[in-house]
Amino acid sequence: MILDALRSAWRHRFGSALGAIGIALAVALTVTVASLHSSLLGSIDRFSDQLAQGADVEVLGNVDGGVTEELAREVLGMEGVGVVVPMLTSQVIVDGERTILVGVDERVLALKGVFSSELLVRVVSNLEDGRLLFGPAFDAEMATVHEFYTAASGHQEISSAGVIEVAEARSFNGGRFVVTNLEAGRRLLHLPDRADSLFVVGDGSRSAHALASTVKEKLGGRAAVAQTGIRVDQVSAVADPIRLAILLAGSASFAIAGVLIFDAVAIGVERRRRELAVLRTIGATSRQLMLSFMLESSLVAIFGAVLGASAGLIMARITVSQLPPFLVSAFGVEIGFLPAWWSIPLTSLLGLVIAVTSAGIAARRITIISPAEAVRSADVSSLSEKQKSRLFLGGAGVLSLVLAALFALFEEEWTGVIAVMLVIIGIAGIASGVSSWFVAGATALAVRLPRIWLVTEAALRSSHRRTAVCATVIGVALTLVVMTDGLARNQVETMRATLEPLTKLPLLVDTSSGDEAPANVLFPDSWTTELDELAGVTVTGSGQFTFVIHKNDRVLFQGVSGPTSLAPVYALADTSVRDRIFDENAVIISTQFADRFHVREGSSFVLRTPSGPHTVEVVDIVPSASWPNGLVATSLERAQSWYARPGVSFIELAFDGTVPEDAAVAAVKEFTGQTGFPVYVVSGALQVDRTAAATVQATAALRAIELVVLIVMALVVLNAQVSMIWQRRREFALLRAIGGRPGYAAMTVLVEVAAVTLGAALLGAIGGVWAHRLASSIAESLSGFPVFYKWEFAGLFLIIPLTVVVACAGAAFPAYWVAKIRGVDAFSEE
Amino acid sequence: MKSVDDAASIGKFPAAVAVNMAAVLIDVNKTFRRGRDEVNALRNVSLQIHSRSFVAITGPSGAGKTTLLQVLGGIERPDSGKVCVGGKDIGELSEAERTVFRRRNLGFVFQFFNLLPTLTAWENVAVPLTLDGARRSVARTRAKEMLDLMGLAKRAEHHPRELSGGEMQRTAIARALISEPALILADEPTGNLDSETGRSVLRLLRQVVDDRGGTVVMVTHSLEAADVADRSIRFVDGVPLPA
Ligand SMILES: Nc1ncnc2c1ncn2[C@@H]1O[C@H](COP(=O)(O)OP(=O)(O)OP(=O)(O)O)[C@@H](O)[C@H]1O
Ligand SMILES: [Mg+2]
Repeated sequence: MILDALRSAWRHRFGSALGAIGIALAVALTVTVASLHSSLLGSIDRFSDQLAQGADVEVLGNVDGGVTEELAREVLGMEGVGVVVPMLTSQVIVDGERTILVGVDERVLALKGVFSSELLVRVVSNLEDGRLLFGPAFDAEMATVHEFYTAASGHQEISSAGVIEVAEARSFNGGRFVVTNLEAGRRLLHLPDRADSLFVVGDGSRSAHALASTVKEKLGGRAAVAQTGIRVDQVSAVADPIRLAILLAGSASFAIAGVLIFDAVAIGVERRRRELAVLRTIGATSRQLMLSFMLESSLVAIFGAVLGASAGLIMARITVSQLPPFLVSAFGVEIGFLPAWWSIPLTSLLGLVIAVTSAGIAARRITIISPAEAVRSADVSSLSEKQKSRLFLGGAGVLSLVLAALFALFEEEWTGVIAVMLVIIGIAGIASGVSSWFVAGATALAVRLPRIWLVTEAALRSSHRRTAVCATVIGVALTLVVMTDGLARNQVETMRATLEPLTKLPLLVDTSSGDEAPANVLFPDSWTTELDELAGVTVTGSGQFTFVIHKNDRVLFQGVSGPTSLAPVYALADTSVRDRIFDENAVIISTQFADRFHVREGSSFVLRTPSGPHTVEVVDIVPSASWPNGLVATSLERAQSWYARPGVSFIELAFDGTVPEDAAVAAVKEFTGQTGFPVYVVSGALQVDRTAAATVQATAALRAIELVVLIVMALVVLNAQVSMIWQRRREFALLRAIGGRPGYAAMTVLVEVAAVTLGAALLGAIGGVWAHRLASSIAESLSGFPVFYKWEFAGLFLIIPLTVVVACAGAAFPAYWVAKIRGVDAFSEE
Repeated sequence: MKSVDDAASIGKFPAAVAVNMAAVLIDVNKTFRRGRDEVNALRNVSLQIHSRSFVAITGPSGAGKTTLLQVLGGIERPDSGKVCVGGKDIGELSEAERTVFRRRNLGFVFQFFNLLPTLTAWENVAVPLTLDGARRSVARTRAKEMLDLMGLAKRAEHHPRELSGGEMQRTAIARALISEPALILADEPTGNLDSETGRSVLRLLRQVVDDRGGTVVMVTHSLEAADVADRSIRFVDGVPLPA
């Protein structure tokens, strides 16, 4: 039975391959995206685990280094608290690369992480200043003297007291860390008395959840409190869009897989019609025959799933290693590859169900094959079936578009996702429902073709089911491509728009290259005066970026030096009110911050800082792409004093004309070059270009989806045309015999494909424009990125012809093949 | 029944002979290869087919009858030898020229009718005209006239699936005749029909020769069909024998 099915699958390998590809694609896409998601969350989760497994509650300062020993004592005094472990986990620069400095004392032994080892504690507590224990990413053989830098401490030489070799250490930030005792770490960072977080272990009298709420209540916002895993929660803003992508990419590709399998089986039934009729005559029930098709498809699906799962894992692996630096730098955690194993059985099963279902639906046609057909002549059989009206499908499509409009009204994320799906389904339904009109239109045009109008008409009239399949797939493909193209273009445009003021900046000295999140590294404040003294340049502004915790979310805090600054968040704000940030407790916030924390212009909110709570008034809200969770900007002075962080993240420079610009730039580079860690000296315009380039890179995933969708589309067209030619082989042979040129037959294939593609593409484009509109608002509310919706006409101009070309490319082989059919075939029966 | 003409002499006077010959084959060989086997479908076949004659080709299965028709129609190229149809050496024509030649000078009738199932009867008949660039209105008028001649005036708008076997074959004959070809090649035209319907099809083909001055070469297995012909040639193993 299975052997028969395998043999049959092999005999119809083209259709089988197409079905397998469909399933493989769907499985691969879902596994990739799911693994990406799990790698991201898992790595961060593991980071917390390695650091502090066994802790019930984590208390995180409102800013890095924002927890004091006093706070630790206070927490220790709270009911239900057993042990409090303060820890330093700060980003520093070692040998020019971002590294995590871990500071612990003997209290860490209450936990079960990488650093909770007596030996380690003993070693670090006896370390003299200037010596650190190194993580396994640092080669033991390497030079024992290293460059160490932070803004507060400046440059220091440190030396290695040894390398930690335990296996688990590799998975903590990829082994890129240094360890010392808490006190030495504090001295190194110039953060006396401070820690980055407190890990709290309960005394067992209450649940972790209850403990977290007690601590939270008592601290009243002076620090963020959560059950461990707070970092995972914080990354969810970044991970949510990936989840959306899983949902969309997965369901779209499963739908396409379903269509492909349906197509393959329906065509298989058509091809084997006589064979099936014979089997019916000799006593096979149509149920048995249907089951054989379903079995065949399920084998194909299993094959596809295995292929897809492997491809998905490989793709995820590659993607994880190429994650945009933006993500990696923002959380200071190395993202390792952690495959989402669960997604493999799940998607394989889903693929199997879809394969069997669509095979079953397609194989239903077997029931209308009567045994009598075995004895009828070949000509009549294939056309005996009445061309059913597909208008009900069109009606269902329209209905689903109407539903989409209703769902879109609710403006919730999930209703938005449903609306997008409904638009896709609607376009599929309509395309399939009205595909006969495309054919009618093409026929009307075909009669004007010199010489071959009847030939073309003959082909078009036989094509209802085939064109319905092609039109559906092309319509859906176009909807997806137009949507993703619009999103990608909007994203890049938005990024440029939000950074526009920077383009006017002649020279920028920055801690981060344009494609990273702002770094926690800072330049010394003295740099602003020292750079100003260099010949040929004047400092026009500077600012600081700090990640702070606001209501348990990691948001970006920015200080702006003064009115001449071109820092986008300040420069884009309303000129009549923006200067209030220099004079009073006022802030400019990003649209995402406003959206996330429900803050309006003119309203006030409280910022918890190490220096106490500050009530700030919102003077303006501007779009900013700097950080998805939101940005708050005030004067540099306030930023530095509120969060007790001296130093600046960037310095803005202008040329004063006293020396040639080249020489001035060279001088600046020479000055900053002594630091030993990366400093970026670029024009503002170049920095914006880099950011835009990084955004384009980030949209590569969308582009890849587009490519896959178009390839699948071409394959469907190819399959449909090949099977059409297979069925109509004798007709084409006849045409050759009675004097039709080979080109005529080829022409009919192309006319049909062009007509159907153009019709479906126009429909799909309409759906795509709408889906783009819907998706951009979902993307915005999910990611917090203020993606401005703008309808992209240029994209349409490119995509529609591209689709027609791709589809015709899919028809090229069939057209070539049909031209090869010779007149001799008209003489034989089969 | 006439005997097989001596074709050897024709080679010397092709122009003179071609005038009243619809088709002439000289030393035609055709071998098919199937894996290691070689099948000699036609062996040194030399034949003359007179204009305005009805020639029946008979013989056992696999004798090369269909191959002969294909070679005559310029659908298969012989491995060697000369094929002249209507005074033209079709071996000298390019593939494209032979296609146009077939379109204008030959008519085909098949055992399995080979109608395009999506086209109506008149449209099927009109196909050869449209291949030659005829306009719709012209093609329709001529096709309907042709169907009328075949006694199918009432069936013009029907699709093949709504026609009987005999009606389908008569439609196919109408299609073969519409471009007024000099030579009609029919491969077992009655093979799929009952004897009564077969007879009416044979009558039609006979009329083509008698009333319209055409030439018919018909492959058949039926003795009755062969009787309608002016001359019968029996093929055995790729060699024509006088019947
Ligand atoms: N394309 C081909 N490839 C290989 N062999 C072929 C091909 N066409 C015909 N033959 C072989 O050539 C021989 C002659 O075939 P042909 O079709 O001319 O026979 P026929 O006399 O028409 O037989 P029938 O009465 O069964 O139709 C047969 O043995 C056939 O198998
Ligand atoms: Mg034959």
